[in-house]
Amino acid sequence: MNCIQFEQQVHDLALEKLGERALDEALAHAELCAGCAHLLADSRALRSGLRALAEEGAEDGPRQAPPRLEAILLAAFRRERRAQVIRVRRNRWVLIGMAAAAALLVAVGVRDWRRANRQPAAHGPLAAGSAQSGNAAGGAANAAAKAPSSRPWPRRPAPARTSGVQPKHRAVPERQKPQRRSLPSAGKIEWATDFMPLPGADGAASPEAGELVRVELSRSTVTELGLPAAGEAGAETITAQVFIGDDGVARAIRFAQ
Amino acid sequence: MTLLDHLGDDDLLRRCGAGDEDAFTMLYRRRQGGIYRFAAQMSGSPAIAEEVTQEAFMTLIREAGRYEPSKGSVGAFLYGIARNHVLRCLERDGRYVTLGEPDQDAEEPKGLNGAGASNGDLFGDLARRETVERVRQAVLALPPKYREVVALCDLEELEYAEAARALGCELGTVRSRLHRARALLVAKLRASRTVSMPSDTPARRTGGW
Repeated sequence: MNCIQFEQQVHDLALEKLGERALDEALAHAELCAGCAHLLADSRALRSGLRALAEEGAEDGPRQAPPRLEAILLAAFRRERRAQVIRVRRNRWVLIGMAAAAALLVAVGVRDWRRANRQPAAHGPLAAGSAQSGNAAGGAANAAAKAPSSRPWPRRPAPARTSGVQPKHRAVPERQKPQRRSLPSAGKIEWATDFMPLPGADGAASPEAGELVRVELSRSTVTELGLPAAGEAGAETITAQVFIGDDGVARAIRFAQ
Repeated sequence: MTLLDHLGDDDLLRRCGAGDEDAFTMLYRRRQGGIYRFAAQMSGSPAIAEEVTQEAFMTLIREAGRYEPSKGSVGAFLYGIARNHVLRCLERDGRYVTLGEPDQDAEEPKGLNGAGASNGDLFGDLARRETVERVRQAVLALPPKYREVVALCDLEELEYAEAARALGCELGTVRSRLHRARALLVAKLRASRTVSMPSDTPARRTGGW
């Protein structure tokens, strides 16, 4: 062993961590080298000094944190625990709220999806250029719901409505669908009258927008509404066009010849 | 002897996270001494040591979930927190290290007032206290990166691997720093023997070499 190797191992030698062979070699070298022997003595002195420093303090053992620190930390532990419980409860309510909101969104989405799926079924033939018509007898509400055909402001597919009467069901059930019947195209209709205000529309505010819906009404319904009937004499049904405001209230009507 | 006495630090910490106050008390009593001494040896100040111990356990209370058993023991985790706090304190105080701030009674050996103390005991005690003081000053004069390995490995007797986890460095780094630190301490103690410092001189000095 040379001095460099001895220097590398001197601390382990002082700590008595060297193996038997390395220990013998190191001690043999220290006997021959005064400088390394001195280094070994210093390292042992350092070792004992460090041990004394580690053990210094109170007579009954090494130094400890002041006892008051335990009380302070225990109080902090209790405070943190309480805060943790409050956080857990608050988070639980937040989760419940989020779950409710998600459920509401899903419900609204499902409702809209169903509505959107029903309406094309009711108005599908319109897209093909044909119109639905049917027996208009049985009241204005039924008659108006039968055959919308022209949509100058096609904002959304909507069922036909009548003056002041809100339809209970917007979509026509499949089995109540009337038989298809050809109507004259919009271009060929000659309107016999101007738009006439419908009863009940007077009190409503002027709409900002609306839709024109073509319907077929039974002559008796027109008479009941107190409107001057037009159309072909003797015909059971009269073609009419109803202006429905964006608030859903029918405002005016005009009749075809 | 309670059930908690048989539990390891990991189990105690898990119970602490679940709000078990007794587990926290047990863990604190088991670990506070080492943390306090480490902080005192690093800073040379009982006040900083107390502050660091409090902060280390407060961090444990608030962020027990940060502990990962795969990265080391609870002890290493606590020493790591304490080390960071100590370094912050030293930085905050402008690296001003108070050397030789022993307990009040350290300047006055107990043997002087103790009944039945022989002269041999008295001189031996004085010599021991002088040695401790010289070693303490030498340790405190080390740069922090050397001081911390000495404090952990030589004073608190942590395994090198544990010290490496606490310090967040490689095992080889701990070994090399420790070797270098011991060499510096030997040189420092040699110098202090050559130029002995009067024991009643207020020993204040900035950190570093």
